[in-house]
Amino acid sequence: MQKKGFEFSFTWMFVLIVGAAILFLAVFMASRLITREGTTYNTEVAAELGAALTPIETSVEDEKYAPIQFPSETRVINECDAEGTFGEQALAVTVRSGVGKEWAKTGIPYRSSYSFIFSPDSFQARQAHVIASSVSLPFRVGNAVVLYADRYCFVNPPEDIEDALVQLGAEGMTVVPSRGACAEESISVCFSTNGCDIRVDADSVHRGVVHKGTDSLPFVDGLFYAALVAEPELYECQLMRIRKRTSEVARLYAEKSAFLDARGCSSHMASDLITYRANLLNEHSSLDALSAEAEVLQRINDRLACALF
Amino acid sequence: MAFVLLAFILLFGLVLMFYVSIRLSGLKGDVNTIRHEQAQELVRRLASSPEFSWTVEDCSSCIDMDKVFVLKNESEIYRSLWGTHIQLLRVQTVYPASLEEVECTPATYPECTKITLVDTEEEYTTNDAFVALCRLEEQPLAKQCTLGKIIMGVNTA
Repeated sequence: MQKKGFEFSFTWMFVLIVGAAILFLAVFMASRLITREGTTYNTEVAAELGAALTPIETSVEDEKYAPIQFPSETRVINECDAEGTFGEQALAVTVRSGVGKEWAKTGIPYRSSYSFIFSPDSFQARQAHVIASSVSLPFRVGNAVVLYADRYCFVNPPEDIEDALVQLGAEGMTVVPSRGACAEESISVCFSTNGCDIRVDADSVHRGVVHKGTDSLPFVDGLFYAALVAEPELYECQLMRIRKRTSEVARLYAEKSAFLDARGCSSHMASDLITYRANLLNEHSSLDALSAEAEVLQRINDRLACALF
Repeated sequence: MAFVLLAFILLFGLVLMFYVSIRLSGLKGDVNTIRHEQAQELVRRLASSPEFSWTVEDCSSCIDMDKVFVLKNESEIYRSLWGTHIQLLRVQTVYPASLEEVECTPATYPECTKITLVDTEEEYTTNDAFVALCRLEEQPLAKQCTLGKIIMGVNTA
């Protein structure tokens, strides 16, 4: 009797090896392509987000609110680097994916030395909110752009702050008479009293201190919402960048002052502006002291025949 | 059978190369589009930036020429702010038109037509925005404005 077995010839072995190789290659390439497409998409979304913030930023006179809708659930990562003359802002984005990893690697961040974007270090949402406020110390140095997705509940705020909130009409920021009226998932903000997630010591949005846990964040005009929303470390970094930018603009005005002196219109502000510049760059100078110095400069400038700013 | 498989491998490889090359050319296009958009955004932004804007009174698209002229000496510092991909940055008078273009220097200012802040003399594509160019003139010094534009050249390589 002859036994009939399976003939495992060279051809079959070749077919199995090459077939497995093709399958492996196809799966590998497909996963690589999906990853790269995801990174490309995330880069594009970050660039679009950066570009979308620009009109809000440039057209702002005083304060402005605008909502931002992402294509799907999106995670935004905000980084700040205060090194160098102006420092740098980096906004990276990753969009939730239905294929592979839920959160892919972020794309190339949108970098800018111009922007001062204040937000939590990282947040995820389908819709975010933007508040842009003009920052002047005493001359305008740019806009503080506040990006947030959380809901904030202001418990019995002072009249000035309540008026400012109502006038702004920002979504996600509500005023309530007592702590108990706050929605469960919202971040509560108390004024000069404890018992909330955040405590604010201020009578108006123009000057005061925001307390978050053990951190105290001082703010001046244009930085109230920034101090409220931003992570303390990010806030300090962006504040340093604002101070650096202000110092460069102060130098420019000092030179303009000398330039106008030569053309017969003396302002005698050059030395004051140079001193102010040095104070801005001194990390030990408090924001309050700088703000007071800025007010003095503004008063001097207002009295000039050829105003500098 | 083996030859059929080899043919599949070759076909698979060709299709993959074709797809990758199309995607890469698309990416280059995307990069140029993003750069172009960023340049447009920066031109818009420059006019209202504190280094350029006329802040003495409210004037959204007025440029302070005295400040820009002073800025000319500081332009190296500001390149990190504007971006190193900026190959040309110039503020130029458009109207009243002048027969010849005169670069602003301490000797020619304010009788000049353009202030060049950056010019690397490399290849670039330009974007521009019309603005009002204002400065203090006459005695006593008073605000005088002319029509001008900010021209920005960005490398596309």
